[in-house]
Formats: sequence, C-alpha cells, structure tokens
Amino acid sequence: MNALESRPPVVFNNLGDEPVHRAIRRLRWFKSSFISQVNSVSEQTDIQFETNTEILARCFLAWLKEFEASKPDDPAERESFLGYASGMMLRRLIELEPVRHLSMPEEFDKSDPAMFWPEGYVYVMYCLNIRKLVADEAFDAGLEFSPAVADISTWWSFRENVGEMSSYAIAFLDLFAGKKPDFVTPYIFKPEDSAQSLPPSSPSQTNQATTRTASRAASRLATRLATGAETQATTAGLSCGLQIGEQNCRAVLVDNSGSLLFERNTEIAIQPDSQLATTHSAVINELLSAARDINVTLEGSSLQGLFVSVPDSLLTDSAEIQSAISANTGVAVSVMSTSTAAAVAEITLGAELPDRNFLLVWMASPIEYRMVVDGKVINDTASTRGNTPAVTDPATLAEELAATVSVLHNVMGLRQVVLAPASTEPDYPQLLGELKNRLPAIDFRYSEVPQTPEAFGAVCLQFIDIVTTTGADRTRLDS
Amino acid sequence: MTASALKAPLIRTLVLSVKDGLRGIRHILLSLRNRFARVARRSPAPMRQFGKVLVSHFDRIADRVDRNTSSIVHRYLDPEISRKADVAVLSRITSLDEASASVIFAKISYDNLKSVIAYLCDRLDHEGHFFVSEALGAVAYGRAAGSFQDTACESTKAAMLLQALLRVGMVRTGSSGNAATSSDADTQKIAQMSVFSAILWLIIERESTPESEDELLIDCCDLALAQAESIYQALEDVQAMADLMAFSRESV
Repeated sequence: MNALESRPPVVFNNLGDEPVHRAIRRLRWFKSSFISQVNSVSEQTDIQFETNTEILARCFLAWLKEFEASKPDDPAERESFLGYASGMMLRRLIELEPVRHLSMPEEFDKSDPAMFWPEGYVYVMYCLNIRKLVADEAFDAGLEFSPAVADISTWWSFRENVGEMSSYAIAFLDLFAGKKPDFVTPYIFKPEDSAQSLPPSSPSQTNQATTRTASRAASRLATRLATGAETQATTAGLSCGLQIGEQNCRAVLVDNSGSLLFERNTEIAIQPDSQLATTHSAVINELLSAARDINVTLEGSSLQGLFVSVPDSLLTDSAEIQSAISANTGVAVSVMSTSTAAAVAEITLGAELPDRNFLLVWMASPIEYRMVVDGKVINDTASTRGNTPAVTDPATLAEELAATVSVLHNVMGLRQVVLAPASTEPDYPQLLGELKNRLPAIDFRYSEVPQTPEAFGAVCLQFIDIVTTTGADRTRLDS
Repeated sequence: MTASALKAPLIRTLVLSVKDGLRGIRHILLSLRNRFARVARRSPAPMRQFGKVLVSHFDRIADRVDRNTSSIVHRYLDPEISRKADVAVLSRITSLDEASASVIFAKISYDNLKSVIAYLCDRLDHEGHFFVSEALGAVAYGRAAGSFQDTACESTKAAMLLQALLRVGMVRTGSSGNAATSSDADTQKIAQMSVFSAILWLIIERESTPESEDELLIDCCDLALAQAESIYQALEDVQAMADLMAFSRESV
C-alpha cells in the first residue's frame, strides 16, 4: 500500500440539491471545497498550509471564463470535456499559486508526492477529486486514479514539465486520472475519443462535430504539405549537411552513394546566455562561409539543398539561419535539431533494435530527446526536453532521465532508450547501472553510431523519409 | 426603535445625522491618536517616552468614547434590522416604501461596508482610515430609487445603487472626502471594491449557501478583487455594470 492509498478521501461541504458540476461554477463552493481539500491534506501529512483566498478567486474567475469560452455545444462531448476542464483548473492553480506551505513534518518520506511538492499535491488531489465527483454524478462513470499519482518519478517529471509549460498540467491530470494524455497539444480540447463511445447524438450535432474534426484534420494536412514542400527541394542533387555542435561547426558533403566529397570543421566558442547574439552571429557566418566553399567545390553546379542541424537552443533562430543561407547561396535550406539528426542516424546506421520504437537521448548539455515511433522521428518541439545541465554527474543525470522515461513508459509503453554521445560524456557504466536499477523494465543501451563526417553525411540522405513533423503518431507506440 | 418609527422624514434625517455625528467623533479621535502616535515614533528618545504616555492616555479616552457612542447608537438609534437573507436582499428592500427602504438599505450597507473595508485594508496592506456615512447611504438610495421604475432588472438596480453610493461618497476618507474620488489609488480602489461587494451581497442567491452571511460577504469581496479592472472600466456605464453584476451574481 502506498502513502496515498492509506489516506482517507476528502469530504466536501454539503451541496443540498445542487449538482457538483453546477456548484463548482460558484466561487462560494469552489472556495469552501478547496479549503476542505487543503485541510484534509494538512491533517493527513502534518504539512501546514496558508491559502490566499483572493488569489484563489482569481484562479476561479480565470478558469470560469475559459470554461465558458470552450464549453462544447454538443452534449455528446461533455464527458470528455470534463477531463479538459479539470485540467484547465489545475493549470490555473499551478500558474497562480494560491497555496503556500508553511512547515513540513520533522520526519517524512521523500518518495511521497505530498512531501516532494506539497502545493502541487493539493492542486492535483483537488482537481482529481472534483473530476471524480462530477464523473460519478453526471456521467455515472467511475473514475479510478492511476498508480502514477503515487509514483514519485512521475511527479519529478510533472513538476519539471509544468514549470516549463503550464498546459502540460492538462495532460498530466489525464495521466493521473488513468486516461490517455495528450502531451503534444494538451491545451486543445479534443472530443473525438469520448464521442465515439457515447450514444449517437442528433444529426445536426453530429454534423457540427464532423465539421470541426474535418477542419482540424485539414489544418494538420496543410501543415504537413507545407513542410514537405519545403524539404522536397533538398532531395534533388547532392546532399549536404551543416552541423553545429556545442563547440564546433561541421560541414560535410556526400554524394548519393554516401561518399564524402567535402568536409570542414571550425571551432566556435559558444558564449554565455548574455552574449547569445554573438554566438548566433558567429554560427550563421560560419554556415554561410561553409556553404560558399561547398559551392566552389561543386563549381556552383548541382547543389540544390542543404540540411542544417543545430542544437535545440539555436532552433529559435531557424528562420534567420534559413533565410540568411538561402539569400547568400541560392539553395533551399532545411534547419533541424542535432538530436533529430542523431535519431535518424540511429535508425539508419544503428545497431539492430528489437523494434523501431525508442527514445533517443542526445547526451549534450542540455540533454535533448527525440521519440522514434515505427521508425519515424517525431520532429516536434514537444518531444524535446532541456534544462538538464549537469550531464557529467551520473547520479543526478540518472534521476532526471528516469523521471522522463518513466512518464513515457507509463503513457505510451516506451520500452527502449538509446543514449547517444555528444561532446560532453558522462561516466557511462555508472549511468547505465543507475538507470537500470531505477527502471528495470526499460531496455537502456548506448548508440554505436560513429560520430564521423561520413555518418552525418549519410544521415542527411535519409531525412526526408524518416522525419515527421507532428507528434500525432506518438500515441501509436502503446498499441 | 423600529424601521417604521423612522418613516417620518425629519426624524429619519435627524437620527441618521446624529449617528453619523457620534461615529464622526469616534473617527476623529482615532485619526488624531494615530497621527500623534506616528509623530511620537519619529521623535528623539526622551520625547518618544513622553509621547508613549500621552498615546496611552489618548487610547483610554478613545476607548471610552468608542464604547459610549456605540452604546448610544445601538440602544437608541439603530432600527432592528437583521442581516439575514429574508430581510437583507435587494428585492425585499425595494418592495418597501422608499422611506423604510432607504433606512434599511443604509443600515445594512453601513454594516457590510465596515466589514468589507477592514478586510480590503488587510488584503491591500493599507493603513488609512475610512468613515462610512449611514446618512449618505440613505441619500444614495433615494437618488437611485428615482430611476427604479425604469427597469425590472435587479442587476440594473444594483448598478444604479452602486453608482449613487460612489457619487455621494458613502465611504469617506480620514479627511472626510469622498474616498471614491481620492487621488490615492489604494483609497479609491478600496472604496470601489467595497461598494461593489456590499451591493453584490444584496443580490446573490441564497438557496444553496453552505456558509454564513459574513463568509458570503468575503466571497463577494474576493470576487470583486479578482475582477477589479473590469469593475473600474464599468463604473460610468450602468449597462456594463449591470452585466458585470449579473455575471458576478451567477459566479458567487
């Protein structure tokens, strides 16, 4: 029995005849029920809290306005909207922080989520309890919380992720509620799943829902086509890769058989954050210079496209890099992250894996992640996580990695993780041991792809087929 | 004294003025005491000790005046008005004749504003003192009630009352100016938010209330603070304020 199972459920104020889904839209009940939750957690854990009711009212109001604005017209979508609405509430609570813990018990279990993040624990339990009450009452649908709600490694990831983007709260609440989370666009309400499981609605309601779904699908298709059009230009002629590492710029040119025609390595000192503009300017200049040299090598003949791989930290400048190189060289340019390149390398050149679903961990500083599903790299920003600076400390690194991997394991059944070396290398045997101890169900292994110019050049040939631009396929991993 | 005994306009005006006068004495004494205490704190050490003795002497006098004025007001001048939901809702007040309604409205608003202002001063960490005039509350009701026949909508009536209260200045500053038009941003905000909360409390539905009336008043106050900007923008527009009142009424 974990710490959570031994805790009695919170009892909220009497509602009279009013159903919970109506009462929760009134500040008086929202406030009193929230305070009941705070008191309940306080009694169970000996943590003392302070609640700012004015901030709580702001949370309520912000949530209520969002709720009213995004409430579906179709009654068939209301059950799935319940999960989204409770997630929005969690997001607001986390953003505005109406609760502050004043003191902790003298001795406590560090693996208890309530002790790890007391405020977050109160918010999550409140939203889960309300969601359960409404599900029971309005939809007669019992809600069983997931074991993830008591799993400390999930909470590490939860806290880190909502710190980066509060909308992840919506996906994590789904995870805690035992539902399928959407970590790609958690801030968009998607009614499809529940709509399929509900009785048919009236024809006009069905038409409205179909129109909305079709519109979203058209939008996704347009995005894919636009991205495909951009990268298609690079498939003709020779392939060229420009790779920016942490401290160097590497330019390689390979022909269609993978033979190396041109290579150039230049050291670039990455400046501290305060001088990032200097770094970016140096990177762009070096790329331009390399591109011109390549054109000279080819005598300006057949180069039609360039792949540029940069660390995630420089991806924000991809448009600038793209337009600068295109304007100066006249070739189409596609900019992608280094970790995507590493993932493609792993698929095409890597050791045989039991299946083609894995997480690639690019061991740079900060660490970058790429999901590979059915042999395709998911090239969206949501599959990337940063903020892991201490890659040389195996224990800390293992803790950080385990948190992320654990969530992906719970959410989508991830079983394989490939650790790919960048310029900064931790103590691999110790790291591997730590990871296997923490997550024995996961197959951790090192990448054996050589970090040579030829390998990178060969990888450039494969980009078009292997990289997808949305995370839509990620949910297929567990199926 | 009952509300019906206060129907006669002359007696009503006299009683409310006497109440305000007695409370005014208390208020002035308290303001003087605080001003003196501030000066004493900044004085050199020997004077500071002397100042402390004087402040404590002042406190004893203020305490005695406070008790006496409260006793006179409550025993002889207050109508028997309960702040329970069966009396203190706007629909019930507006159904009375204007003379009784204005007295009841003024008394209930006075009680509510005192609590709400104390809460807001605490929330906003504001040290200023406010004086709430019951007589001006009755005047405001009279002015707003003149337009009540134009509408059946309770939120619109509430918006009219709010505007009237702010215009006559039922909430006043230490120097007896209208707090709603004060040049100090916090003073102005406290006046606007407190009046909004007190009026909102009069129109909210009670049937599912699990809390006390005082807790409900604090809920109204928290909601007012949470939408302070919207309230500020709707102050001069009756329809916008009525819409905001209607939304707030549903949301509390």
